[in-house]
Amino acid sequence: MSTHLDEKTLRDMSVLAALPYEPNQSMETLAALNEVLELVSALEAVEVDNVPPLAHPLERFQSLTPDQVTETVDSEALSQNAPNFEDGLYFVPRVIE
Amino acid sequence: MNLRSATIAELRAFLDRGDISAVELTDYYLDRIDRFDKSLNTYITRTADTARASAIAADKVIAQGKATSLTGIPIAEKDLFCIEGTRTTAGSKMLANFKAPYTATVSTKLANAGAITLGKTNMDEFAMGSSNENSYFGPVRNPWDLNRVPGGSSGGSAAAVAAGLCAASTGTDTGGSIRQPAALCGLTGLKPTYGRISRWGMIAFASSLDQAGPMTRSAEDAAIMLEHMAGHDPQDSTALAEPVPAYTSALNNDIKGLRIGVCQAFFDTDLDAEVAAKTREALRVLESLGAKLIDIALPHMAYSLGAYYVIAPAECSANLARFDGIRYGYRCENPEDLQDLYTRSRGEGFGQEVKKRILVGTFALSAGYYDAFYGRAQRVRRLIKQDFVEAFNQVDVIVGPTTPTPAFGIGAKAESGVDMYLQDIFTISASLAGVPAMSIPAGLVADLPIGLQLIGNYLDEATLLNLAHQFQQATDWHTLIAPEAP
Repeated sequence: MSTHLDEKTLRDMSVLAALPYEPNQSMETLAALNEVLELVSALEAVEVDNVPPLAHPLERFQSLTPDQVTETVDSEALSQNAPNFEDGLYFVPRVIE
Repeated sequence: MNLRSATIAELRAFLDRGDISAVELTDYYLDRIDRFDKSLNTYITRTADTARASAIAADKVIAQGKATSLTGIPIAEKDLFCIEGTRTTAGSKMLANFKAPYTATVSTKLANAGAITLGKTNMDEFAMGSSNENSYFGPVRNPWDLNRVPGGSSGGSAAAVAAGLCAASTGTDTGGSIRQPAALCGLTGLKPTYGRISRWGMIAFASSLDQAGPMTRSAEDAAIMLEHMAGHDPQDSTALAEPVPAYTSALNNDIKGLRIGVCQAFFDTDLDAEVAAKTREALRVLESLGAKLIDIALPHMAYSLGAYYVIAPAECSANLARFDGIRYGYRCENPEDLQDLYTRSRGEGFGQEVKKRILVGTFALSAGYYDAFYGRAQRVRRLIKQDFVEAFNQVDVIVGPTTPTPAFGIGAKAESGVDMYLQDIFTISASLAGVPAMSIPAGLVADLPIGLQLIGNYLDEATLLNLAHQFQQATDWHTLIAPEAP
């Protein structure tokens, strides 16, 4: 697991995360990320072969609710925070030419 | 009537006796905010008009003799809690102009109880940080020393209470974000059991870890706040359907014979010698009150930091994917195409630490690395939880330091990310296990407050609060006033 990221992986991760890849800052970013991975590499020392993963700290089922409509979305209120919203539509750059 | 040092419990008596009205009390805090917040920077948004309107309503309720323990008490809310129609930023440029379309359950409960919201407090961006230096709205300064940090991520909430700019505040804790700033500002801060308080309307960072809690001047005040904040919420499927005890009624229980676990690993790590000495002094106080100290082991605590810095970034990378520059939040200027819109909006809207954690999380969840990173971290998390389960077969509470050092200087750790992460080395394990934990003032080191951490068994906040209250009856560290905000 002692993995160190290289520039190609950083570029790939930037695409997956929808974050800009900035070649002039890549060394600095890689150093910061690899510092975190170095910290995380301590986990390699732990024997976990027969240990199931823990997803919920209390290991409880989440509570369920009846499948009923209990509220409606106030689309006008939600649209107030949209950067570009007109006539009930969110505007984005043209996708299909 | 000393308002500067007054707790919620004392303010309640002042209000009920008519020594002061809720309007006068609200104006007292608003005036202090005007005087001190230019230098402290604890509030991102002030809500003076709605606060005064709430105070007028509170005075009517008090006059009718129908006050709750919080009616007319002015508080501050961490700017991670949505309040309808009020700017809610999460400390980020991404949400700098976001007005919440609905209100968090916690905020609704506090408002329904009659608490008055003075404003929204500064914080590390999206709750990622331990110093409040990662805020788009600038760093918060510690009222004990303006050149030092207040801790984070709930740094504004902590500094506001410590400076007397509100009677209490809300915070959130993912890996220590209530306890660490409480320690560095000389406050009582409680992270309840995971699921004890609803997360509805609390902007998500790491959903399996995030938990809201109170930041106050005393354990009694924390009990008052928790009674109103806790409880099941149909809007949050992880909010536990468990009854909420009357925490304030359990504050005077004798602690004779209470079994307190002391883990040597807390003292073997990079703990400042004077903080260690103060922690041992506090343990002797608890012993003198009749508690029994028992050595315990938490064998996997050393791996907490590693597990946390896989799990929290992984969850943050998923949670923050919603910020796309389309439905809400920051949008870049003149995007060339849709991909450019996504990428530049996120690149310009998020700060460096947030982007770093998103990238770490994206990597930890990516094909080929998922099992080695996320899967392994979740398995280690089970071992950490198991350590606590076994420890609580032997003891009732675990006690140790909250932070390795007192507050550090602004800028002192900003260049070194992992060095900053070590601030949470004592708090993260309780977050991973989901057990309740709190920090209470335990003395001064170099004229700066330090915290004593109390960790309890699942859903046993009452024992923690009572132990903290008994300690505060025997000591006066929690009554000290921060010198930069007299």
